[in-house]
Amino acid sequence: MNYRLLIDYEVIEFLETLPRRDQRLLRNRFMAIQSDPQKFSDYVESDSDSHRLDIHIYGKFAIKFWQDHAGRDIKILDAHFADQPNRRLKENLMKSRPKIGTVGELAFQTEARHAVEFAGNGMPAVLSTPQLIGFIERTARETMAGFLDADERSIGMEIEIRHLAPTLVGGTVHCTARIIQVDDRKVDFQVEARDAHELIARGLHKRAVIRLESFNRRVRAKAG
Amino acid sequence: MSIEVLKQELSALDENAQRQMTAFLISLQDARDDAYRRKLADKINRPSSEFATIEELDRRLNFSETSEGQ
Repeated sequence: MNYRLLIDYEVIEFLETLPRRDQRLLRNRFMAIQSDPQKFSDYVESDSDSHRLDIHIYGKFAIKFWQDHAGRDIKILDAHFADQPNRRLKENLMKSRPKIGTVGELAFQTEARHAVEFAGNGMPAVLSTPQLIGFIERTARETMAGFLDADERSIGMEIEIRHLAPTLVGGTVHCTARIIQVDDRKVDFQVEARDAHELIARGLHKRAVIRLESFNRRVRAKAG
Repeated sequence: MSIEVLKQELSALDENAQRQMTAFLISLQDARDDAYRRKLADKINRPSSEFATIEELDRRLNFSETSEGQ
């Protein structure tokens, strides 16, 4: 049928927690599903967008996959113990769930090293957008640090910022990051920055919680 | 019907029916978990480039191409 097999990274992280034999069994079952997905559908359920996805029970495991007939892909979306459905990440990640409405703040004084690199020749030395984004991201990171276990970190996934007004070097900027949504390991923030005069930036930022061990493993694999 | 009776009835089914019943029970649990169902939808809507291939899985799990994974 020539479907392409695609595997969600959280599925791989789950496999990494299993004994070698189970890793091998599941890996090979994914390949079998790719060859003949209909054969391995034990039940069909729907997600929140009414996609119809398949559940396959394989020994003590449940595998959830989606057949994208248009794109000719088989996406392995989830794998978990059949008697512990889909709660692994929610239960095990983070020592406490970040609370919606939590606000973090960070203030900094703009220095010459934070200025746009094209200052001079008539261009004033003002805070550069990349530097501002760095401070905003740090504000969000520190806001959720208290919710994480020692072996966890949050990493930036998305940022959408409108830099609205210039701030001269020497000016103080106050950044705020408010948690507005928590979905499993992903946390969304509404972010803002103000100088002494006005709102200078606002936007949205999304961070994901990672475990250092599995993240390092992923980075090492990429480095070859 | 008690859980024990339910388990007994389940174990009396053939293997196919047991799998289907287990999958059905899991779908019932999933149906009550809106966040999880949204997460599945999010994964389905993600571009292919955000998924791993079987080759990447093999690298991550240190399966050699010719032996362990096969």
